[in-house]
Parts: sequence; structure tokens; C-alpha cells
Amino acid sequence: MAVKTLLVEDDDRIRAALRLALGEEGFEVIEASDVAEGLAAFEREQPDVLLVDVMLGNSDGRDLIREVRTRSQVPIIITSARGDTTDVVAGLEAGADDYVVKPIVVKELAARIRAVRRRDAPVRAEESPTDVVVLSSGPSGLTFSKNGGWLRRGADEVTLTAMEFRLLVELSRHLGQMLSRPQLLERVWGYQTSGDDRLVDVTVRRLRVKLENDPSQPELLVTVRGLGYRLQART
Amino acid sequence: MRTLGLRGRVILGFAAGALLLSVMVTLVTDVVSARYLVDQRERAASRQAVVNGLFVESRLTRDGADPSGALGAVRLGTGAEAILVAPEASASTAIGLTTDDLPADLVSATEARQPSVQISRSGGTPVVAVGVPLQGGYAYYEVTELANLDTTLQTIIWAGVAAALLTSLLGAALGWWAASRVLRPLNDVAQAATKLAAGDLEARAPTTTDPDLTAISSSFNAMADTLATRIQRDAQFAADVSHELRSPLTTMTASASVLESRRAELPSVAREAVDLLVVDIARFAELLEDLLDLARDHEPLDPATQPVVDLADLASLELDGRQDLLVRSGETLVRADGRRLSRVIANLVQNADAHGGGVTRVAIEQFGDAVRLSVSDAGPGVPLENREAVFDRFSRGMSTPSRASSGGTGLGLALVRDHVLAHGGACWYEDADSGGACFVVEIPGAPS
Repeated sequence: MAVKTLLVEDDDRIRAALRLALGEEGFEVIEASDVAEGLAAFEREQPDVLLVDVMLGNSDGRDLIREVRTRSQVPIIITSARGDTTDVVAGLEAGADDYVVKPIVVKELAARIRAVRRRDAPVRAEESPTDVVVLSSGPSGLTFSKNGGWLRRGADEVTLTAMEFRLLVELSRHLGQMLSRPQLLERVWGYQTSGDDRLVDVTVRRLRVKLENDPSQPELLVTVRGLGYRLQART
Repeated sequence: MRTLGLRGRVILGFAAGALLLSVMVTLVTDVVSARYLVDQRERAASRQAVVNGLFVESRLTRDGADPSGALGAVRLGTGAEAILVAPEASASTAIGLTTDDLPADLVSATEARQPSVQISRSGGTPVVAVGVPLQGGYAYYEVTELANLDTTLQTIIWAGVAAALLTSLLGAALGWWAASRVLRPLNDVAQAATKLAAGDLEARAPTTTDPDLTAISSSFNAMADTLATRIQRDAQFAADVSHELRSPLTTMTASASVLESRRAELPSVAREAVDLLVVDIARFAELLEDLLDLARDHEPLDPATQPVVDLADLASLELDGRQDLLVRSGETLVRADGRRLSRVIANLVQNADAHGGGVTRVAIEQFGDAVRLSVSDAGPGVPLENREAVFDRFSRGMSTPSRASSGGTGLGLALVRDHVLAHGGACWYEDADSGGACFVVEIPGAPS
């Protein structure tokens, strides 16, 4: 079955061209031109992936992302005409998983869509048989299962987006070891060549909000000397 | 001759002024004190002479002493000699000293029973001669050499010279201080200008209430404001252009990719046209990115705010599948914007592939406190006269008769230079050991 993609873009011509091009790549494309239309289409069609332009004429694509995130952890990719400004970071902070900068190269976009849709990172030989990782102990301790696909604080499940989950999986595979930003970009986001460090930084920030007692004083997901990040269990 | 700076001139002026003043003071002091001293000595000498004369008189008249006896009992001061002129026989305390050695007016005045004092300069030394008429036709003369007066005056002159030197030095010091005071606001403005030139658009000259200085600092700040506004407007323009051009370009690239994927279904003429379209849309997109990159990244980075990245790791990523060309040695960590350094490496590699017959070696080496990246190729190298120009925008420095087909935008090396300079580094051209071109980039290392 074709991957159902919701394309929220205010420029009719871009929308039409991307619909054709993504169709050629085997995606089913649903179109919306603003936040309201996008939300309606999201509810109606239950797409597999969202492509959201952050600047939707008079409305803000980030509002749509935040609204969708209250009800779904579906992968979201931002399309932005400005790669250098803060709206990429703002869009990622709103809950997007990745971004592409216009002019969009369709082959790259298709690769990004496929990358964010893989909820489970590529299976590796050294995967441990005991799957559940205890990150912190106590009644509201954090436990995490790669195969089960869940993160729990005590008995409550913590919702994670696809990329947050994959980042956690990758870091927990190397529990106590530092992973550099380029390594994470390659293993989690599937960037073969250099990606944008901000992807890692923002996703780590989002993950910290869900993991740490005090996200500004991380104890589990710590920064290593500006080089990368390390996940450490605290038991 | 080298012209003196403002500071030098102020210091010199103050020193000269101080010297002039102290010389004048010394001269005046010398003249005044010479007068005063002579005056005092003269008075003392005459007082002494009168006292001595009266003593001689009393010896002559009361004790009946003879003139030489009377004179012998007189206690004279240093450098003083006396003559006693008697009606019968004269006497003197120095051999051969007679009234002929005295000024004639003095002698005649004394003979006219008029006590008188006169200063003469017989043989260079000032001499005070005093004549005192005594009772009984006697006349007492006393002559005092003022030899040690000269020594005193000389001491005063030497003290004056020393004082003049000292005051000149003090004057110079005062001048230095005053010049610093005057120049400090100028220095502040100069510092602000340096910061501004280095890219700190917030740098302003400190505001001052001094009416003499507000003109310069406020006009400087007005200039800085204008400059900052213009730069911000340029950046805004670049961002707007970016958005406006990227949107239609997205439509074009997406549509072209559809045509490309249906290439087989097209007649051969259309197929050829699509090929041209696809390649040039890609080139246009690349050119737009490079132009925007050049327009955007002109501010120097503060290394302290940048993350630590491993230059060798970045190079390894850019050399996807050609890791055997990578040589690394030493500590290769730098504080940098990874995206921009990746761009630097990618552009150098692309440049070598497009113009230099392919990359032959990419070396990342620690070089003292810096990390050096060098990309060598198998091409003909760059002629001596073009080695600076290759880093210019749309440079024709590289021998590229057909740039269009080789895919470069002509901005790659200009971007390399921009990014490297923003990181406080340097880039240059060298001949590779293998004969081709070698582009070298040096970035300050991150102290571990």
C-alpha cells in the first residue's frame, strides 16, 4: 500500500508539482493549503507522514504541528524556504522530526520520508536478548523497551515521536558511551553526508523534557563537551 | 623626516614650555639673588668696616697705639684687607696695598670726611671697598673680596639647570598625561571602529557629555547606525530573495523530476530538452544556494559559542566511499560551525573533482595550535598569477573552458574563503607534491 502523505503548502504550483513528483516516487499525496484545511485532512485521512510548510501565508505551519502533536506521534517533515533562520529550529521544537529546504529535490524528500517512517532503527547483530532497559529506579523510574516500542515512567507510558524513540534506541544501544552528532544524524536520521546538528540538538531537548526531572540539569541524557551526547542509567 | 603624532607634539610642547619657564625662573633668580647677595655683603662689609674703623680709632686715640699696631689688633673677615691712612705714616695689612689700589672717588670722598662704599671689579673678582674717616685725620679703608659670592651664584645656576631638566621631564610627563586625556575619547572611537570593522554591529563609541567630544562620537555612532541598518536590510533582502526564488524553483525541480522519470516515454528531441532542463535547474538551484550563502555568512563567528567538531570526521563524511584518500594525524578538533566546515570540505573536494582531475589526497593534520586541511588533486595546478584570484567570486582563475559542463558555480572557492575567514582561519594555494593543485585551509584548533 502506498504511503499516504499529507502535503500542507500554500503555494498551489509547488503543491501541484510535488504531488506529481511524489506520485512518481510511489507516494499517495493529499493536499491542504492552510492550517485549518490541514487539520481537517489529517483527521479525515489519517496520513502516514505530514509535510508542512512553516510559512503558510497568513497562518503558521508550527500551529498545525503543535496541534497534530497533541493527538498523534505521526512523522512530520517541515518544508522551509529559509534554511538559515530560526523557523527551522522553531518548527523542530514544535514537534517536527526533520526538515527539507526549498528548492526541494524530490529524491531527497522521498529518502527523508522513508527515513522518518522507519520506527525501528536497522536491526543489529549485537542487540541484547533482554530488551528492557531501566534508565532510573524508584516508583516513578523510567523503563524502556526497544522491541515493545515503549517508554514508561512508573506504569504510565510516555509518548515519543518516531524520531525521539529512534534517538533513544540508538543512545541506549550505547548506554554510557558518547555518540557524536554526525553519528546520530547518520544512524537515527539516515543522513549519509553531513546533516544539520540542530536536528540532534532540538530532538535531544525534546527528549529531555520527557525524560529528565529537570531538563535544564540533565542527569540521564548528558551533553559531552560539545561533541555529542551520552545516555546513562541512574539506578 | 617623520612627522610627530599628536601625542608627541603635545609632549614636546609641554616639555619645551617647562624648559623655557624654568630657564627664565633660573635667570631671574640668579640676577635677583646676585643683586641681593652683593647688596647684603656690601652692607655687612660696610658695617664691619665702620666697627673696625671705630675700633682702630679708639686704639689710636685712647690707647695711643701706633697705626700699624692699631691695625694689627683688628680682626678682619676672610678675604678682607685694611689700610689705615695716618697723617704721619700709613699702614696696611697686606704688603704693597695702598690707597692707590682703591677707587679714586672713594679715597677723595673719604678724605673729604665722607664715609663711602664702592664695589669694583678689579681683576674679575668683585671687591667691596669701604672708606671710614676717623678722628685725628686718620682714614680707615677696608677692602673685601667677594670671591665666595661667585661660588654661591654658580651653585644657584647649577641648581637652576638641574631644576630646568627636572621640570622639562615633569612637563613632558604632564604632556603625556594631557595628551592621553585628550586622545582617550579618540581611542574609544577608534576601538569602536575596529570592533565594527570586525563585524560587531552593536559596537558604538561611548556617549559623552563633553561638548568638544560629542560631535565626533555622535557622528561616529550615527554612521554605525546607518551601516547596521543597511547590513540588516541587505540580510533581509537576501532572505526575501531566498524565499521568492526558492518557491518557483521548487515547482521547477519537482516538475523536472517528473519529466525525468518519464524520460523514456518522450520523443528524442523532448528528451534532449528535458536533459538540458534538469541539469540547468540543478545548477541554478546550486548557484542560488551559493549566492545566498555568500550573502549570509559574513559575520565572524565567536569560537567560544561553537561546538567542538572533528575536522577529520567531517572530511570522512564528505569523502563518502573514498576513505582511502583520507590522511589524518594529531589532534584534529576545532571549535566551528560544522555545517559551514562541511561546506568548505565539500566545495574543495568538488573543486578538485571538477577542475583538477579528481581528488588524490585529503589530509587533516594538527599544525601547532591549528588544524590544517589540504585537498590535493591530479590536475595541472594553478598558474602563479592566478593563485590569489582563484578564491574570488566567479573566478576565471581555474582553467575551465567549459564550466557549464563541469557543474561548478564559480562560487565554491569564494565560499571556502568566506567560511574559513569567519572561523578565524586562513586558506591558500600550494603546489601538490604530486604536481597537481593543493588547497590548504587552516582553522585554529580547539584546546583540549
